[in-house]
Amino acid sequence: MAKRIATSILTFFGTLVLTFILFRLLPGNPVTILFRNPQLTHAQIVLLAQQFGLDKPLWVQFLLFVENVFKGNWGISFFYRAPVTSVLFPDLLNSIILLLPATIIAILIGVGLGILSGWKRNSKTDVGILTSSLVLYAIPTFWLGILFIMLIVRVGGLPVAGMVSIQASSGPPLVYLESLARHILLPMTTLALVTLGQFTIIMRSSLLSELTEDYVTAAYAKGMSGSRLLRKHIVPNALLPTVSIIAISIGTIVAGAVLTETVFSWPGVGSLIYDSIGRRDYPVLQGAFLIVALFVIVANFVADLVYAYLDPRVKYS
Amino acid sequence: MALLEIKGLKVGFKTQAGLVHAVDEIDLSLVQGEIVGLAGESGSGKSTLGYSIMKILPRNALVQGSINFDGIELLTLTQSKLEEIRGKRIAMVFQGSMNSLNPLMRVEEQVAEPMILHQQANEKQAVVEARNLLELVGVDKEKGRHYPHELSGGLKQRVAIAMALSTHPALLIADEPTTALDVMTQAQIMRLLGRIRDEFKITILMISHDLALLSETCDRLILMYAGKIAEIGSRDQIVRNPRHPYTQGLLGSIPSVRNIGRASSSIPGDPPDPLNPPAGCRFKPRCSFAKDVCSTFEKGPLYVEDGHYAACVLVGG
Repeated sequence: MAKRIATSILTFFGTLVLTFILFRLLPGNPVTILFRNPQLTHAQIVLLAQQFGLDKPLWVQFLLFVENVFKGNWGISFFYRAPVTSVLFPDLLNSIILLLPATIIAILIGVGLGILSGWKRNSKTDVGILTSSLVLYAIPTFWLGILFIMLIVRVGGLPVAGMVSIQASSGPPLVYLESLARHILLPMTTLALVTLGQFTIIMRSSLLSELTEDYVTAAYAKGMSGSRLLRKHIVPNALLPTVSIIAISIGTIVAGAVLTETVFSWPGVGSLIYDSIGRRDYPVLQGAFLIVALFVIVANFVADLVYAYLDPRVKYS
Repeated sequence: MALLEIKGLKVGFKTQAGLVHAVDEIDLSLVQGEIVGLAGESGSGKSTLGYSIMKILPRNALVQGSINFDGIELLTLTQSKLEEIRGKRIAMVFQGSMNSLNPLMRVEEQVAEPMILHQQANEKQAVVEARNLLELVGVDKEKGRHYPHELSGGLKQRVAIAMALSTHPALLIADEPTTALDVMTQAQIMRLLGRIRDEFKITILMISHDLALLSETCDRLILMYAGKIAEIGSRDQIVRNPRHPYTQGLLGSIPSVRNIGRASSSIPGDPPDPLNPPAGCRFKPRCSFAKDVCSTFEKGPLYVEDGHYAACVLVGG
């Protein structure tokens, strides 16, 4: 257990180092980028550099950087002229509002289809599910999103961009929620569809390998019906490898969110990353990078815990 | 009256190379309360015979003939009726029980499962009963809380036996119950099975390649070769008066500590290709007594003495 925590912390520290180095390698002098004022005198630049600690040796800067990360001082956005945290965290919440339900739906449907497909192996159902999963897995997120937008633009009935309508954003909570639900439908569906395919494929193959185990034959010999066998023995055991793969894929889900959020103008971290790249807003990118890395690390840590809980053979002492 | 009556049983497996004849025209009957040993080399069809009684053969199996258990024809039974018999009145202990237990379930829960399935026992009752059973087969009650990987091979085999006995079946099929165990544990398990027969008055069909082991515990012995019965008789008849050259060869090849330094004899050659078994007696290519008539010998086991039959031209030929 302590070892797991230590690994997670070490990974996060590694991320900090990488972020720090990448940020220093980027072109441009932070002071001139931040102030964008051609009339800055050399003396003023030196003064500002001093103010930001840029005159200190790199290792001191790194220690200060680490200290600031933990203190919640993540720098100032070049574009918004506001602390990165106050730019990042509201968008982070918006992202979670989109990602959490999309991921849950993708896991439920994906794993469910995988079970069905594996159980009915080599049937038409199996072939159908497997083929569509592969297609969904291969479809580019932005392309599916654009298709949806084109469809809705013709059919009508749903908003294709944003998170809530302007009228609803200041309206009563129920109106706000209704507007949110209508706005979230398309990006959530897109994100869930492009992610669920991989879960189906993983769950199916995991189920198939479980079916070849001797204990399955032994359980049949106990006089168990197929559905009970599936429910009590095969699915719980087949879920194990799937759990760890889902955790690893959280990273790709976040990456998929960048595309989905951009296509549907969802005001989340993904859109923010996309916009910040265009604006060369390095501090925001750095903060977003840290947050995403933190998410992946935490997801993997949680997956380890869940795994240990599910599999008695794994014990973290 | 016979508890189990097998008539003209044929089992084939459809493969890409053609139909594999695993069991060919077997007649067999088991009386209540006896232990019958079924011996043969790998691929002789002995396990397939056991599996076809349980009807847990792979999907590509073709079964013909009749298996009558206590007045019920098993081969034409519906799935739901079969599930009532399987695991309840006929139970099975599998080869390598390390794999026949679900790795993620406490052993007491697995022992309790047949009782929950067949006797409408509630979970608590069944677990209490399971612990008693575990004690009966020589596993500490506290070990019931353990997972399979925490137990030794011998203990796991005992757990598998307890699991099979939990519904007090009339027939127990033990497929290589001691194969993966050391000699001391083998002897213990065999003694346990003998004791169980005496206590529960059940019929045991013990499948093994180890003729020496079988001849210690079993009342009767059946020798299978290439899907057919070579010889059948009481233990004494087989051991003292083997009439089939295959039986003679097998008995002669049993190594003994008294013969250290001298190589045990063996039967030259390999078992025939199950895709194209030779015409007539299938043992002919390896038999040192082979004659021309053997190629046309298609009869089943011939009468030697009461209860003793051998499928060889040398008998009454």
